[in-house]
Amino acid sequence: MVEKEAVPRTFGSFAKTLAIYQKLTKMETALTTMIERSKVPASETRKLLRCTTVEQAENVPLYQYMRDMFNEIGFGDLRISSIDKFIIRFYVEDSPVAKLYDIKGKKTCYITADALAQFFTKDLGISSNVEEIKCVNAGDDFCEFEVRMQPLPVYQIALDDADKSILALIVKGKRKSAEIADMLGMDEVEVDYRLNILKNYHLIDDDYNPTEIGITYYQFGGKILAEIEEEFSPPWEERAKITQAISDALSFAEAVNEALGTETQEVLKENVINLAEEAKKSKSFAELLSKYMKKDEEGGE
Amino acid sequence: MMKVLASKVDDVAFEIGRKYDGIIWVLRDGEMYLAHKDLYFTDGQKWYCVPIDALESISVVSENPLKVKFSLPNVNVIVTGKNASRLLALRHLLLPYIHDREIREIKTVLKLWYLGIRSTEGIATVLESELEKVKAIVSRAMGEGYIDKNGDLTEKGLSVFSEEEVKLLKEVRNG
Repeated sequence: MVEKEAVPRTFGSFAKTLAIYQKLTKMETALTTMIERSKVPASETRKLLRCTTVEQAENVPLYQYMRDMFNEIGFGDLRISSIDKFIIRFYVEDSPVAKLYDIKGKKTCYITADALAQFFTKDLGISSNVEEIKCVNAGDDFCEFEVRMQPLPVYQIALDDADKSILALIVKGKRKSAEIADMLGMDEVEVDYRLNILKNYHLIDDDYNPTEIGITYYQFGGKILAEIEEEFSPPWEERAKITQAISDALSFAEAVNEALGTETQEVLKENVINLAEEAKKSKSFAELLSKYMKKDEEGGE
Repeated sequence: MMKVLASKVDDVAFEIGRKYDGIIWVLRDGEMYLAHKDLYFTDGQKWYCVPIDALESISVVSENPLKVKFSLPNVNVIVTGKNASRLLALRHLLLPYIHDREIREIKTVLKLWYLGIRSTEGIATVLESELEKVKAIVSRAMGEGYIDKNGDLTEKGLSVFSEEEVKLLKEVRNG
C-alpha cells in the first residue's frame, strides 16, 4: 500500500495564504468581467454542441475564444479531452491554479471548475455542473474538469429549425432522405448530415424511426422549448476590447488588493466567541443562544 | 494574552443562525477577517470566530446580492460582502481544506467499521456524533466505493490508511 502524504489541516504561512488569496481575488474580478461581456449567440454554441470529435470541437470559434479568455485570466491552457452530447471534458496541463496551493493528495482547482460552470450557464445559456475529476495536486498528470450540461437546454440549442422540420417529417412517416430533401427544398447531403445529428441525440434510431425521445420532443419539446433565438454578434468579434477589459480588471484588482493584508487587526483570543466550540459544548442551540443573550444582559447591552 | 493577527477581507453584513430551522441569532453589519486558522466576524463590539478546521461547507446561497454560507456543526454564518470577488475568492481558497475535513470524517468512520463496529447507532455513540450525520457518512462511503456491498472495506477504503495504521488496526481487531 502506498503511504499517503500528510494533508495539512491548515494553511502554510499566513503571508503565503494572503498572497494566494490576492491572486484568487484578482482572478475572480477578471472572471466577472469576462462573463459579463461574453454572451454567445445560440447559433455559435450550436456549432460546439454538434461536434462529435475533439478535433472538430477545438476548431470551433467559441472554443478558441474560451481558451484565449481563460488563459488571459490565468487559468492556464484549457484543452478539450472528450466531447459527448451532454458532457464535455476539459484539461489543463501545468495548471497555474493548482500551483497556487501547497497541498498534496487532493483536488484544489475549484475556481477553474466554477469559471467553467459560470461560462456555460451564464454565457452559453446551458445550466451545467462542473467537477474537477483529476488534479495534479491529487497526484494526477494534469487537471481535468467534467462539464455536465442539462439535457433540456442542450436540446433547445443543439437543434435548429431545419432539424426540427426533418424530425417532424420522420414522425409523420417519411424515411427517405431524398424525399425529405425534396419536401424541404434541401440538398440531400445536408439532410443526411442533419439525420446524423438527430441520431446522435437519440431522436431517431439507426433505421430512421423516431425514438420515444424523438416523439416526445416533437409533441411537446417544440412548445416547451420554442424561443425566438436572439441574434447578436459573438464576443470574439470584440476580442480586443474584452481582453483589454480583463487586463484592466486584473490591474484594478491588483491595486485594490494592495489594501488586503495591510488592514490587519490583532484579535485577542480571550474576547472571541468560538462558534464551533460553543455549539459543541451546548446541547442545543437554544442553550447557546440564551447563554449569550444572558451575557449581553449582564454586560448591560 | 494570546493575540492573533487577522487580515480584513471586507465590510460585510453577517448573520449567525441555527442550522436546522434557520432561526437567526445574530444579525449585524461589521467586518470579516481572515487569520491563519480562523475566520473572524466583528460588529465592532463582539468578535465571533469560525475555525477553518471546523467548516463543513461553504456555499453560494444567492448571487445578487452575493451571499455566502459558512456551515459549521449546528451553526450557519451567512455573509453578504461589498466586494463579491473577495468573498468568492475566499470560498475558493478554503474549499480544498473543507474537503479535507470530509475525508477525515470518512476515515474515522472507516476505522470503526474495520474494527467491527458496523451499526450507525454504534458509531454515532462512540464518536458522540449525530446519528443522521453518521448515516450520511456511511452512505457516502458506500456510494463512493470505500465499502463494498458485502460491508467490507474495499481497496480504496483501505487506501485512506497508512501501512502503519493498517498494521495497528489489524492488531486491535485480532485482539
